[in-house]
Amino acid sequence: MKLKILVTGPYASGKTTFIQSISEIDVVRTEENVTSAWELEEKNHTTVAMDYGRITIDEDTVLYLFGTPGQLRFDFMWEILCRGALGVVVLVDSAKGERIKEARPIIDFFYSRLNVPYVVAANKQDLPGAWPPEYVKTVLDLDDSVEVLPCVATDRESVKRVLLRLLEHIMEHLK
Amino acid sequence: MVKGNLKDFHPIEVLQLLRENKETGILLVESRNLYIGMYFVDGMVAYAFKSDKVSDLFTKKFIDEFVTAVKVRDKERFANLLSKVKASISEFMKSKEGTFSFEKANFFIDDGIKEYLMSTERLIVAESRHVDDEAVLERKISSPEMVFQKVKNVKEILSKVQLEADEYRVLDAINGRRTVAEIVEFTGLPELRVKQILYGFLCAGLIKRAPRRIWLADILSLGLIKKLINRIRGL
Ligand SMILES: Nc1nc2c(ncn2[C@@H]2O[C@H](COP(=O)(O)OP(=O)(O)O)[C@@H](O)[C@H]2O)c(=O)[nH]1
Ligand SMILES: [Mg+2]
Repeated sequence: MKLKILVTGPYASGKTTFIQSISEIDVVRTEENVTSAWELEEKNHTTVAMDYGRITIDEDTVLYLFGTPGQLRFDFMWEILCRGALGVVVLVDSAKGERIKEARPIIDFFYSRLNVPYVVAANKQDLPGAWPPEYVKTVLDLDDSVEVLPCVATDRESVKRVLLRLLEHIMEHLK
Repeated sequence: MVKGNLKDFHPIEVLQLLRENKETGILLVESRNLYIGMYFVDGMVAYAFKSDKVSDLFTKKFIDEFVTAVKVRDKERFANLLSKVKASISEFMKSKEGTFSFEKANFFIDDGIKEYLMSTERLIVAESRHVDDEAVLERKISSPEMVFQKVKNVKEILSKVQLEADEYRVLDAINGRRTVAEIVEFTGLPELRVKQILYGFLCAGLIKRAPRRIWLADILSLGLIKKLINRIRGL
């Protein structure tokens, strides 16, 4: 069985780094032919780069982490990407307070159209002056059910904690 | 310490950060050649001053002045100070450029003085009426599809602010289901005014985004999630 978790966020928020820290393979960069969504775009500007990593769960279960840019050309792309996804990690660069709001279009879209669980990772907490997760939550005006976690995407343990919290939230909805 | 630029955060948004997180500490604003210092206690404004000398920021004399005036219950002295405080706050609210930084500090403020703290909620709601830059409003009211609900302790916050008739109309329209676009339609108020009001309400903590409904992928089962959790724990 193939499972997937999406890792999204604005440019340079740390998506590739996050996936690389936990993936058992080198992150695969795909520039084309990812899903049928891309074929719907005009062929000459189809570069929505997607990265993916893999975690083997057991003999017949594999978890894929898909890194996808926050700014997608069309909203329907989100719907296609999220179809069948367990959940989403939204990364923000918390070392640059002014860039936190760049995650807003993604979040707004989730609120109005998408119903998969997500967590927000306040990434780059190792950098001096990083905004704390609570501030990230305020800047994005998240409701109390959305958890904002501190994150250092270069640190595997930190990435594990974020993924585990996402899975725990999903588990709560299954109970 | 958290730093930012007033180009990216309106003063009201800075107040929202400190109010929402019930911060105690000092906000320093450097705007042109003016320094504004604001002391916060549990997210409320305790004191504010302005000076063109950066050295003034490192003295305790400002807050001591305030504490003394309250302690000795000298009404005249207090009123005089209060007008200085208000002038400094309004200078901050007008600042469109410059930088801000906030540093947590542990002030010892006894309960007698807590009565004199200013309501950040009230300040935010009053100031939001002057925000007409659409780019600023859309930073918070970022989609016409946003849905808000009143916070649980809305009554308590209402007791700290003074709303106008328009604002009550918008508040009444917020029910956890109507979108921003629907609130505009329902109230019949101009869109800009509705956004302004929602911006103020959101920053003042009267309303929040309504939580989403969650639908899980069909393939999910408790057993599968547990398997994933165990595997990731063991990595
Ligand atoms: N200090 C620090 N740097 C990070 C962290 N995560 C990512 N970076 C750096 O941020 C930059 C952008 O990261 P990348 O993963 O390419 O971002 P993407 O565009 O979202 O895929 C790179 O230089 C990373 O090394 C982190 O947690 N801490
Ligand atoms: Mg990348």
